[in-house]
Amino acid sequence: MTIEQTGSQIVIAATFFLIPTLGEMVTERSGILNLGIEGMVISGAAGSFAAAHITGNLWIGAFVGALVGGLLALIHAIVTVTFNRNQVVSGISLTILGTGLSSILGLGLIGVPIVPFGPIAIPGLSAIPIIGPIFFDKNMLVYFSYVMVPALWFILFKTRYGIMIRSVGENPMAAYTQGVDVVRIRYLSVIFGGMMAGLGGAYLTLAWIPMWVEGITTARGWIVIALVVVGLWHPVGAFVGSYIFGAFDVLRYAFQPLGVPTAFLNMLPSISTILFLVIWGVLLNLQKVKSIVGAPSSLCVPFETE
Amino acid sequence: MNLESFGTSLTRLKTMVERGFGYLKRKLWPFEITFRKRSSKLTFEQSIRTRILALLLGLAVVAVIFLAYGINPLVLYLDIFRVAFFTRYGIIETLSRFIPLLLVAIGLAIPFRAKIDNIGAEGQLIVGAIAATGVAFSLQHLPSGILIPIMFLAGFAAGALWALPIAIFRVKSQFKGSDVVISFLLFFPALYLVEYLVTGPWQDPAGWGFPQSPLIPESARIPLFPTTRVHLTIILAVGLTLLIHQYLVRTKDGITETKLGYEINVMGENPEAGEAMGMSFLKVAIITVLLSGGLAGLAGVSEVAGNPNLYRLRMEISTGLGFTGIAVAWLGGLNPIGVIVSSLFFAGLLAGGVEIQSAGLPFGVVNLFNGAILFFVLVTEFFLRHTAEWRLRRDN
Repeated sequence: MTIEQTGSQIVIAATFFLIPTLGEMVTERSGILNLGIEGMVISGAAGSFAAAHITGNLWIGAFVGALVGGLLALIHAIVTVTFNRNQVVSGISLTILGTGLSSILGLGLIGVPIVPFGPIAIPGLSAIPIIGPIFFDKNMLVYFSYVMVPALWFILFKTRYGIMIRSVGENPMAAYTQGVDVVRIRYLSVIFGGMMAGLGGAYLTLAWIPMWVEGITTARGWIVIALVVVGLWHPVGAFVGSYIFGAFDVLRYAFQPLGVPTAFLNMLPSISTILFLVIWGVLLNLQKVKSIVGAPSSLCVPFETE
Repeated sequence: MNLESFGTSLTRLKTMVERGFGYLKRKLWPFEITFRKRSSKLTFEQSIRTRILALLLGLAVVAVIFLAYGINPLVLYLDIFRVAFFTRYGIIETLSRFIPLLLVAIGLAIPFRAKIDNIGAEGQLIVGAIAATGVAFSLQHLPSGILIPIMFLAGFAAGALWALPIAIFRVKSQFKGSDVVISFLLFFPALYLVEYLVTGPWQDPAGWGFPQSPLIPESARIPLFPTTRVHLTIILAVGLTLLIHQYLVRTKDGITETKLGYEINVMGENPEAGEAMGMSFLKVAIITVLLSGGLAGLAGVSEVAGNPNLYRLRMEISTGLGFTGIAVAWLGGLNPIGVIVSSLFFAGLLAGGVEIQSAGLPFGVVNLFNGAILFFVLVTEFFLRHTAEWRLRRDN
């Protein structure tokens, strides 16, 4: 396999991690932990595939994927923001519910073919040797993920909305007394996270693996939650983390000729995630490191005005 | 057009959009809701009523989805109920699902009470099954009376060990949710370890290449009740549940009677107060998580050594009981007696689930029930502790 082919596969795998990770990052920045990523991704994948199959239009499919993710996230927002219930349990219910929803949305679609998003070469940039074919000869959703990284950085750190989101995640009471509508900011952030997760699912079934089978995500949604931590709640970090895990996803097959059983290769993504969390867990315990990373202080802390 | 006038028109556009949204909100949602905390604590009767309400609401929401797919939910629900509890096949199948489900759910209820979220029971169940199979083959010359207890001990130890990282991460880690993620991710190494074993070193040489181990020796099989396929582990499961009720949950005058049970409750309600009183969260976390993983491991043993459909190690050992157990534990109110009842309900749902398939839906749809019921348990609890006041908006 040439370096261009390997690089291409890494970009394609990494985009699937990157889109939901950016969404979850915004959700967590506003102080809400959504463990339901897996449920939203897989429902988005099934819903977008069904919509694209029925209408024959991939863009409608992608939109429906984002819609399904957003609606599921709305449930999480109602339960955790309005009713102040346990965010962890609500997220777990969302994962279970989304998994069930995906099997009913994907009813009768197993084995149905679809024409996926095709690559569009960007004139000029795609002519650069090596980098061009790897990064600039991809489908529109991959370009969307490139654009979202600087866009979210700008929104989070340079605009009023970004400051509101981050202050709500740091200290909701202080933000509330300053006149910020904490409930509204949290609702919007959670729904945005859900839409990105649903879009990530749409990317899976409409661009990467153009088909539907139950459990198509192979629980990659859980890795997204770890990636937010690995990326230190920063869009650029999320980008770097997603590409590292995309590389893991692709390169594990390089070990196959060495005689390592496939079962062990399949363990690699989850074990590397656990190792990352262990290393980060140790590092983040150091006060010096803690002060420079963006971990939202009020993550998972319910907010009540009375 | 200069930059300034462009800025003004942008601001104007923004006000217009905001006004539009405000108008829509007033028309579509003309209420103001305020929530107030109730002063009194939950009574036993109220908490049962909420659970039943949550269950019915969950079933109702799933019914709407079924209706959208042209399936009559009432007929389907009655069919599931009839098959699960009123046919000989169904009752036996329900009880055979009840055993591992109860072991998993009661195990999960313990750390949940201390707000430690172990969602990796599926992985702990699998390693328990692996340990039991290993013991069954390596010590097969031992008589049943010794071999089976050793298998249970090994399964408990393996499950507990698999769960241990959760406690450490829950207490020592600086970021929320990492313990939950790790508890889930540990499921994959366990699952692929089974795949490796049943396609490699433990593969049945006489099994035509099927990915499964040989049948475990007769001496390692848990005895069945005569003329049924229900094994004696049911006594162990119910007995352990009652023991846990006795030693960790039972209250007298509203306060848990044992020291450990009290510590678990305090750590769940108010960890800062607990630490100030000299309790160690790490100790509580380790004990609850070890018990939880160990009980899930026992469920794995009971599947390998008790389920006549298996009696061997296979990939199919993982049927999602570990995830269903989460909904079971919460529906049971994290109370052992409640968990027995909700285990029976979910076991019936799994046993009657064949009816879902014969209605033309994939079996994964069962997850809809789990998820929806879990959500409504969360929401209905809120309304027990709060009152809601609905008012029409004044500005309407």
